[in-house]
Amino acid sequence: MNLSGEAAIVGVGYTDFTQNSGRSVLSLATEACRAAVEDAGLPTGEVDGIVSFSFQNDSVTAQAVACSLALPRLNYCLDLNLGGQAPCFAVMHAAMAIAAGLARNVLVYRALNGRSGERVGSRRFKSPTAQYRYPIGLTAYSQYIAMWARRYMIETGTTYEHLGAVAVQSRWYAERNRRALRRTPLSTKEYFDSPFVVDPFRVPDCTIEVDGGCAVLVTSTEAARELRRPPAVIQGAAWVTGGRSGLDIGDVLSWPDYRFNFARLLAGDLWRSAGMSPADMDFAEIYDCFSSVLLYGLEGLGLVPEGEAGPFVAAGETALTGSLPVNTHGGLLNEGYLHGMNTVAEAVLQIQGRGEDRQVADARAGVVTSGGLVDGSALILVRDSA
Amino acid sequence: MSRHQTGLIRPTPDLDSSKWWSAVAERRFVLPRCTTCNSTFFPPMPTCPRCASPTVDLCDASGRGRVYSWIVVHRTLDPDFHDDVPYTIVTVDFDDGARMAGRLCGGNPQPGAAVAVEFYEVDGQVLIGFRPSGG
Repeated sequence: MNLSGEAAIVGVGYTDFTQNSGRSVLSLATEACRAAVEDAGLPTGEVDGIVSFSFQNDSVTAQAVACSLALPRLNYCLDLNLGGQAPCFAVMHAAMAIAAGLARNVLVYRALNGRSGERVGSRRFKSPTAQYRYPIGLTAYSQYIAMWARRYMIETGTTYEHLGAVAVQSRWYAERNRRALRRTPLSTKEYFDSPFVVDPFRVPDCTIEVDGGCAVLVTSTEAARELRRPPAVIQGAAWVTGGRSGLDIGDVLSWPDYRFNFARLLAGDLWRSAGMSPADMDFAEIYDCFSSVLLYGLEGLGLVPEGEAGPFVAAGETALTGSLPVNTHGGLLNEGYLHGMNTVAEAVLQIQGRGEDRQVADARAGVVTSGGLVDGSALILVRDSA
Repeated sequence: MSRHQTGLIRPTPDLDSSKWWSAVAERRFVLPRCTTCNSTFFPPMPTCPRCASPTVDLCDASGRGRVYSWIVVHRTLDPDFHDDVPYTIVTVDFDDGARMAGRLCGGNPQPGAAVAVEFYEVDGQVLIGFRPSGG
């Protein structure tokens, strides 16, 4: 069975993104899901599948959301125990369930109180390799990814200026996105004036933790044509777990080569699944928990030659007027860390022509990624050709 | 660049790692090695991550290696390490194989620089850091 073109995303839903929601995660998840269903113009009771993911139990289950939405029943239900690798994979599961005839309308959501609740930047995870990191003060993702970024800089000649170009370009988009938590303009000088969190990362190189929810609704491409929004057709999808990727998602010791991440490992499968190539993409939404991860994504997917992503961004090629607009919502760096569910939603808005001041002209095809290290997922979304 | 470590989150050894931590407590540097394919690896696991054989032993290792990458932590959300910043952590590729992360105890980090294991103690807990070895 080939998934290509079988299913489409037809609605997106968001809560407000804040730093102190004052609400339960269930309340956030429910609002985002309800908004996605309403956006699609579907009666809520038509939803018969829910897929979500939770990182060390920071979210609520699909079962709970089915209950809060008063759904009559679910025929497909999946709670993934994953973090930022998951959003595209979760959408892929929704498409699989639909293509297999197991469900008709599947919600995919992510909700958390990521700032006012337990912060990913300071939580202590119970994981097999925590015992080798925490005692020496290697305690946060900013640090793990920075360790990768340093090696990437050594091997490719990527500079602080290149990381800064990512942060500055992403902020330009964020100024045009009402949801973004960070919206004040950022100049290169301001970037370099900002303090290091963990060298090589300064504050604007790091995502901002957020309270909120984000959801998308997936249905069959055929059914999507009867709904009110233009479908964002799921043309391709892939997941990969790299060999020796580690014992847990904080393991920085098992994978031997920090030069590239999962994006390179799944690129071949992804393009084959869609029958498309990097040259066919009008835009890209690359998971960017930290600035360097955007560069890994561009190179890994083959959108930019190896080692040239930094200069590509610095030359303005990822701007709205460039050859490949990237992270048009301002990225996780600025919109907020909804673990990449919002990265998927932005791609849908672009395909649907709903990007407002940051809309990519004639956005017919785009690629989305989820993940920063050696496991992750990606989607190719296209405008419906029927 | 790097201050002496004062903060500590105590390690919580598990059934796969307790022997390795016991060796560390005795300031003995050992690494897991597969006696089937002869590869050295870290962290400890029940089987060899290269050939999946369960024939894994802890073996004495040189503790010498080269800096693969590093970070300098300037801000931390973890209160245990507020007094330590800024501090440098290096990932080191050992000459015998395997990679490990640890505090850099002296000198500035350089890619490929030769380093050697240095044991140190924080609040009674022996930990492994790295010092430049000039080799």
